[in-house]
Amino acid sequence: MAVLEAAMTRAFCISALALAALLAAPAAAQRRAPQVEPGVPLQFGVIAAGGRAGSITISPDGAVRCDGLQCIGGARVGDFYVTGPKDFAVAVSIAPTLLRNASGMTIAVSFTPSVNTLVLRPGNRQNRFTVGGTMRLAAQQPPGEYRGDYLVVLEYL
Amino acid sequence: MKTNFKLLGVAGLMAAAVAVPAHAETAQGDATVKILQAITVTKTADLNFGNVVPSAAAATVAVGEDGTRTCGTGLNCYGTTTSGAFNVTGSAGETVSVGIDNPTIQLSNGTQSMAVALSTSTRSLTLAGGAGSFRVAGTLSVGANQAAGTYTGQYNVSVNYQ
Repeated sequence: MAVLEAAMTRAFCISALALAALLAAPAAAQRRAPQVEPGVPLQFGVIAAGGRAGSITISPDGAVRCDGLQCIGGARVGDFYVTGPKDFAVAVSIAPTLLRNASGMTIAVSFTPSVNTLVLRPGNRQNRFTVGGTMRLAAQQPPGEYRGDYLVVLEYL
Repeated sequence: MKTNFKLLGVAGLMAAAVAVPAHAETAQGDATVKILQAITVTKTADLNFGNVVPSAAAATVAVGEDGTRTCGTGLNCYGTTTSGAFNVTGSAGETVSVGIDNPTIQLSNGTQSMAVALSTSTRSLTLAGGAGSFRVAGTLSVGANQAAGTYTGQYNVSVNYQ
């Protein structure tokens, strides 16, 4: 029994060392987390309200399509820059949000990034993606300047 | 029993080491849009050439934006004249373009017609306080011995944000 116990104890010690090595390995290989920062804001430009509802879509490449609206101009995609280790893989996601004017009136916006995943190139701000979106206006949308924030999330392992 | 418990503990720890959680970094972006008030255009006066007695020769009658009439040679013109007039509303401070969709129209009494050339000196308006106005002039071509009657027609104007 003592021999068996000694053998088991030795096996336990070996396993503990292996576990310690396994837990240490990720820490030793851990790379700096990627950083994401905003560039220019997303602008839907100037739009004339009308008697019916409509929408405006800005593609990530900057193309603008207006349905049921008079889009006067000034629409522009937003962009973001990612800095991180070479070959680091990230997934990009953006949740919808509301823009508001000074009176509290809102407009719903959904977003479209130019990429869903990025494999990073090394160097500061060497990885850029653009953000377009779709905005839906109600009939007789109240006039004013509407503004809002949206959150870009980069997920990685 | 003591040994088995130790073995289970090691297995549990190793299983926990295999599961790797995901991480996330975030950044905030800004989005904006400017919504302008819908434009309204309201006619406030018709273009009216008044009364014209034709002659044996064709001639013209012109009504300026200020409503003054120029009666062509041989014609007899009398009665009240008015230039066309429109009010515009929209977002205060914005500039709009003004245009006449069909610069030449026909007035008709049902069987006969006369051409009218329309014009406006207003190409654009700045909506001070959200409002503005413009006027429309016209030149009527009266035919020789033009048939009597009341001649009417319509024209459209377009006003758009620039």
